[in-house]
Order: sequence, then structure tokens, then C-alpha cells
Amino acid sequence: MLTIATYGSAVPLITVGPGANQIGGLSGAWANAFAADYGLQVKLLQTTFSSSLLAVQQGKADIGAPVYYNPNRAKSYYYTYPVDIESLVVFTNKSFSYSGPSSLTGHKVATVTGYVWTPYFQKFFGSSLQLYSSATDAATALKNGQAEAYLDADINYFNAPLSLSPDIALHPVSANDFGIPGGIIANESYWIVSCSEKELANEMNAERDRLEANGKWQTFLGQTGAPAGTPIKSPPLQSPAEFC
Amino acid sequence: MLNDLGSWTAILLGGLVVTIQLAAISLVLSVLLSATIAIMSISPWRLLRIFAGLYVDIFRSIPILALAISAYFGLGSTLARLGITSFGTAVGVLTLIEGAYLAELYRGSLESIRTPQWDAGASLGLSWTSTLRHVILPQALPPAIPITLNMTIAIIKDSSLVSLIAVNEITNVANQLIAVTFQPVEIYALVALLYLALILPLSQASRVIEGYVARRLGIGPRTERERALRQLTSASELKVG
Amino acid sequence: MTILDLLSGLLPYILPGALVTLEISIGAWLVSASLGLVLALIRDLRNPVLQLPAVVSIEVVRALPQLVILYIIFFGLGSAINVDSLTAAIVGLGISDAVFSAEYYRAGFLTVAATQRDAGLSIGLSPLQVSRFIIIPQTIPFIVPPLLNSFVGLLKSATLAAAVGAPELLYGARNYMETTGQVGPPALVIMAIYILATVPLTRVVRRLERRIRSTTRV
Repeated sequence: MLTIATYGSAVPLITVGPGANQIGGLSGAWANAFAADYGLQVKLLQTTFSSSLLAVQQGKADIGAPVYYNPNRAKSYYYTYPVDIESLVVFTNKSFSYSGPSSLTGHKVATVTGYVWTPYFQKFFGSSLQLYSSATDAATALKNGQAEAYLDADINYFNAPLSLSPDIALHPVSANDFGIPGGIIANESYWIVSCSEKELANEMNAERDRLEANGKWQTFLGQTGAPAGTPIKSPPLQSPAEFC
Repeated sequence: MLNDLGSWTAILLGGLVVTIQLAAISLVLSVLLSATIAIMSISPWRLLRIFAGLYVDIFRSIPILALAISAYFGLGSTLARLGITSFGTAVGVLTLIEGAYLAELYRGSLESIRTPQWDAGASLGLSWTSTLRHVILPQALPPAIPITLNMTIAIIKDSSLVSLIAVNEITNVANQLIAVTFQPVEIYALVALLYLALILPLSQASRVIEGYVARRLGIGPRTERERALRQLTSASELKVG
Repeated sequence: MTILDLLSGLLPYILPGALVTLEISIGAWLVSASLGLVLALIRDLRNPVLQLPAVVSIEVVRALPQLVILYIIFFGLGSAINVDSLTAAIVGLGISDAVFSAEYYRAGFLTVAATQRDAGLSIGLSPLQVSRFIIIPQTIPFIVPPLLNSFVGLLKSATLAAAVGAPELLYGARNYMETTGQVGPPALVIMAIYILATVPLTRVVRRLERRIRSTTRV
């Protein structure tokens, strides 16, 4: 049994459902291939973003759906090869005139609890920041007008509800916007395991090497379910600095 | 370590303030709503009774979380246009649902004032509303106080649910803190202590007042056995948990 | 989208969820009914050693929100021993409800006249035997309505289990909402399901209560 902690769908990276234990998308394909090769049954622990991190740390799940790296997290988690690379953007309605972080002060801004960027946002926006437990909730708030801006990775543009709305605009974020150092604006996402399960991470990496070698990874990239022409960047195969 | 606990408590206290604001506003609105519904349900006008009955039946059947999520994400665009925030939605949901339970409890209180009282009012030539105002309500008020105190406790506890629609009350603030520190044990222990500090005095006060009402004013069941029976046969009015 | 389309699209998401909700409610109810009885007996028998811890735990649990109790068990206790979502939900909701069941059991004990207890003690039965053979059997008809009512309450409280990862009914509906972007219609369906499930049960409870009230000599 391979228990995967997930925190919702993020087309094209990962899709959850409709069955209770079905996973898809690019990283889902990787996990399914791995499970098939080792004869493991996939079981999902579906929860919120921050709970999924805790679940892996506490051993409730073997492996956690892809998240970004930061040195603090690396003390508690061991990372695999990256799945993709994403960039922080500001989502607003097309009618909102965004001209940089300062144009958001005094407006309703939404993001998700537990992201690497969240502490910076909390410092920048203070208590007026709307913190949701999932990307879908935050994006729904933007779509409904309950938030005027939504801060997250660019791939969320392809997920419901944003993907169903024609009026959403993406604004790129530059270094030092919101006080965020340039190095963590673009991030690779990696599978995580707890520090006591490094073997599992190494096996997942071995699986990824195999998928690259037999060309299946290219097929997965094409099948991810994102609209044609969506650039998914697959970064070089190396794990980040591990601290545990 | 002690430093950490101190700074965490300071952050959590910010959340506790929001919890208290949320509970206080919801309580006031609930009391007003429930009193109205309770009076409607014992009124001589059939339409009012039916409406009150429907309201109570429906809102006591819907889980708070289901209503909160449906309202906030389902009616989101309408709420946004009206300028209602997640805090406002939370107040609305808590008021509607807790109000339904409180209305039933108030109704029980009103119904326990027996017919001779109503007859006395009628024999003096008072209308139904006058009898209600001058004879019935003053008698129903004292036992309603511990009932309302108990409902306050329920509202404070249920306010934790709106953490899931982005209201920054204490449970949500705790989860945000844990997402950064990865220390759930210590932080949830602090949260538990803060809830206890808020609620234990209220439950104690409720018990003292209930005892006072029973002894000094002679209202309520006389023997322990009567009280026990009353408790067992009115369970459906209470919100468990 | 017609109602049929909605329901057929929604069903695969909420059917497994409904089963989980039932699992959680029934499991938690069993925990509550049994733990509640134990707590009530401890208070009733006035065992000096167990009294204080029992009273303190009851007071503490009564003052904590159910959601916080679930988090404490799943993430707090779960950092030491391995607790899965379903167990955390069943144990957490069961414990939070048990303190209320205990009150009902105690009220039930009180409905049995003191003379019954004295009679039992006078023929040489121990206090525990008196409870077991004389008091408890007579309280059963009285505690059926409150226990049934607590089951209805647990059906609704099961929605909290999603917060610790148990894919119950509301969570299934949320998955549908996230995938299709439709929120309003499935929300109405979910609320209708809860109303249809709990209103009849509550009616039964109320009818039982009324019968007891009218047939019991106070």
C-alpha cells in the first residue's frame, strides 16, 4: 500500500478523484507508474495543504503530494526529484488595475495557509489577508468577488474555478515584491517523504529515471489535461539540499 | 522554548479576540431571533406557528459546516456584492442554526408556564399579546438565563467551525501557526487552555444561576427525579456537543 | 443542467462519502454510548480514586470544541502514535459526545426511585451489582430517546471529520464542486440529504419523549 497525502487537484500537475483513491495528472502518473512497478495499491489521504505536510511528517502517509522546497521544511522532509517548476503570480480580474504589490494594499487579498510565501504575505498585508485552507477555496473567493486578488502558482490558472472564468488576468511577480526574495518566486515542486523514509524517495527517483529512459515521461507531459500549448517545464533531475 | 510559548500565546490571543467578537454578535442576534420564533410558535395564529415550526425543523437538521461552506462558496458572488465578508457569513450561519436550537429551548420554557396563568390574564380582559408581555414573559425570563448561558457556550465552541471559511478565529490562527512551526502538540495544548479559560467560568456561572433560580424562585422541577425526567425527555431540544 | 444530470454526476462523489459518514456516526455513537455509561457509573458509584479524574475530564471535554478535539487526537496524539483519519474521527466525536451521554445516563439512574437501590443493598447486593441488575435495566426505556438524539447529532457532526482527512459526505460534495466549478446545486442536494435523514429521526425521538412524559408517574 502506498498512502499519498493530497490536498486537492492542481491540473495539470495532479488530479484527485473522482474515486476516493484515484490520482492523476503529471505527478499522479509518476506515482501510479511507481505503484504499478512495485505492486502497491494507491490509497489517498485527502486533506488540506498544511495538513498534508503534517501527515507525511507524522507517518500517516508514506509520501506527500508535490510541494516546494525551503530549508526549514527540509529539516523535516526528504525531497525527491522535481516534478515541474512553477512561478508565483498575482491573479486578479481583468478589470482590476494591478501595477505592483503596492496597488494591492487596502484591497482584499487571498492566499493559502502553509505556502512558502505565506509568512511574507502575512507580514506585507497584516490581518486583512484572507487565508484559506485550499487553493480552490481561495480561487473561488476571487471568482466570487470576495477577494480582489489571489496569490498562488501560475499552474492554478488551469484549475477550476479559475479555468472556467474568462475574466482572470495573471500578473508576474518580481524579486522583492511583497518582501519575497527572488530565489523563491519560481519554485520546483517535489514529492516529499518523512526523514525516516529516504529509501522510498530514492525508489521514486529510480522510477522517474526509468520513465525518462523509456519515453513515458514525455507521453505523460503530453497527457496532463492542460489546454494545448500549456508550457509545463520539467526541470533537471536533481534533488535539492537535504537536511535530514 | 518558553519564549516560543509566549509568542505563540500572543498570536493565539489575537484569534481569541475574533472568536469572542464572533460569539458575542451571534449570541445577541440569536437571542432576538429565537425569542421571536419561540413566541411565534406558541401564538394563536396558525400561519406563524407553521412558519416557526418549519424554520426550527430545517435549521436544526443542517450541519453548521454544510451551511457555512454552501453559503460562503455558493452564494459568494451575492455576498461579495452586498459587501458581506466571511465574518459576516459566519455570524449569519451561526445565528440561523444556533437560533433554531435556542428557539426550541425558549419554547419549552414558555410552554412550561401552565394554562392557569394564561387564563388569569384572559379573565382580566388582557389580549394575548398583553398577557404574554405582562404575565408570561416575566415568569419565563429567569430560567431562560441559564439556557442562554449554555447556548453561549455552544456558540463559542461551534465558532471553531468557521475556521474553514477563512475567518481568523483562534482555531484558524492555530492552524496557520502550526503550518509554519510544525509543532501541533504544544500549540493545540495552548488553544485548549484558552478555550477552557473562556468557557469554564461560563459553565460554572450557568450552574450557579440555575441553582439560584430553582431554589429562590421555586421555578423548575422540585425533586431530583423530576429534573432527571425533564432532562431525559427534552434531549431532542438540546444541541449535543 | 437538469436535475438528473446533476444527480448522476454528483452520485459517484457522494456515495462513498455517505458510507463514510455512516461509519463515523455509528462508530462514534458506540464509543459515546459505552464510554458515557462507564463515566456515569464512575460518578454514580462514587469510587474515590476514579471520581476526580472522571469529573475533571468531563468538565474539560465539555468545554472544548469538537473540531479542536479532533485536531488534538489526529495531529497531537498522532505525532506520537499512528492514528488514521477514521479512527481519530470516531474516537474524537465519540469522546466529545460521551460526556453528554454520561449526563443522560445519570439522569436515567435518578429516575429509578431511591427505594429500589436501598432494597437491593438491603438484600446484600454490592453497589455495582445493584447498578447492574436493578438500576440499569430500569433506565433503558428512559435513555432511548436521548441516545437516539445523540446519534442524530453525530450524523451532523460527522462533517467535521473532513478536517482530519476522512472523506465523508460533505467532502465528497466539495470534490465535485472543485472539479466542476458548480457550487450551488450540489450544496442544495447535500442540505436536502441531511434534512431528509435527520428530520424523521428527530420526529421519532420527540414522539418517544412525549410518550414517556405522559406515561411516567413523577
